[in-house]
Amino acid sequence: MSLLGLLLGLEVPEGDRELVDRLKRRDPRALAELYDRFGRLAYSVIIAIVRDSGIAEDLVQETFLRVWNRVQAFDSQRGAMGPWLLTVARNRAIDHVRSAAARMSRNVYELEEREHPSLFVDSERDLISSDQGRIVRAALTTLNDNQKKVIELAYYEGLSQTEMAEKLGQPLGTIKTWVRSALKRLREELDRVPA
Amino acid sequence: MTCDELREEYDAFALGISEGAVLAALREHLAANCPTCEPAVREALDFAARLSLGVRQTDPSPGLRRRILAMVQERPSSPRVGWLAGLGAALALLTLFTVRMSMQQARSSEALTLLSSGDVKQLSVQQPDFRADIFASRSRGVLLLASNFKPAPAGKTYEMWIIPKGAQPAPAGLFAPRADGSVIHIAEPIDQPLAAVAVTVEPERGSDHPTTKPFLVATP
Ligand SMILES: [Zn+2]
Repeated sequence: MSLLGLLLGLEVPEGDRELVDRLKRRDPRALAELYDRFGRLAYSVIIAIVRDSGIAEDLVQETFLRVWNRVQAFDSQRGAMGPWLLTVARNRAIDHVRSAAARMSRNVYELEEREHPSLFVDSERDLISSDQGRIVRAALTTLNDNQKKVIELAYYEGLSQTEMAEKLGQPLGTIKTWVRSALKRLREELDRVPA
Repeated sequence: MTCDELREEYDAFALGISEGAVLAALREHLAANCPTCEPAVREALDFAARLSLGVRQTDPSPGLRRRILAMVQERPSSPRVGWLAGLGAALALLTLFTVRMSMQQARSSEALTLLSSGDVKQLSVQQPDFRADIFASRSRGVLLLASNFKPAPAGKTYEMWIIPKGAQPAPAGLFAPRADGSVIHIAEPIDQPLAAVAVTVEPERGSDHPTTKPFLVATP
């Protein structure tokens, strides 16, 4: 399926509604449709983080299994399937790359709390347009080196700000400033472009 | 902390990098369905998901779709298979595998459920040059645990077959070893007496019937 198709899939909430209802009824064809819409994107997000195709495919499988198993809690009237599925996908990948120590020191609840289906509703912005990948990449290029570094460590490695401070040998306050300014900058850039 | 103090923290929380007092405070606000923080966190999660669109788009192998769909194929409503006896000691084995393979939680808990079901039985594997154990449960399906598995040749995949007594092999899912050579593959239960479980190399999309000689065969 083309990127454009995937993105259009994300754009049509009416389509989500019907698809979610079918997923809730355990229609295996609905899972096929969900995969055709988001499988490539989920895989792309995961492999960018784990950098191994075999592991990435296992994690895509877990992503879809998780969505299948939890879709009952998803609000089919207001739910935004694309953002939810991408969040689940990234969380599986982050969970994989985090060191065993980092995993132990964190509450298991920590990933779960950010992917509960009830949080993915009322996507106010038109989340996706076919240009979105380019827009996001362009926004990332506006960050300075420090900002880029912390966003990469956050996005691709799932490091907490304390872990970043250790890794980069910087005071926690400095890291927090970089993170905050980077996220602010990204928001400005993304908001500047009408979606 | 007040909502106002948390205002700048929503995006970091959505990315999963909050910690300490901020994280605790945000959790409290969310648990209390805070009318300010909850919608803001939703919006931040949306923003975080949007950042994911910046990754370079890559295609997974075509076999992945089939693997994913195989997970939800209808299982027989009342499996009645007469070939299984109890087995308890497999749990310790799985613990060992879990540590060694650092496998993902979802699959390991599924495997644990299978191994701890009352009707699980270990099959005898005819001997490959890598470690492989196959367990079958009439209620939970068939589990393959293996290590030192080579990746399938380019354009090929591994496919499991469940062979009922007096019947043709039934496809039981495609799989690929993980980077460390480990395999955890679980197939749905079948509703007939089992003659054997086999693994073949098949074209990437998988086959409906085995097209190569099985290199791994297990029998009850
Ligand atoms: Zn609040």
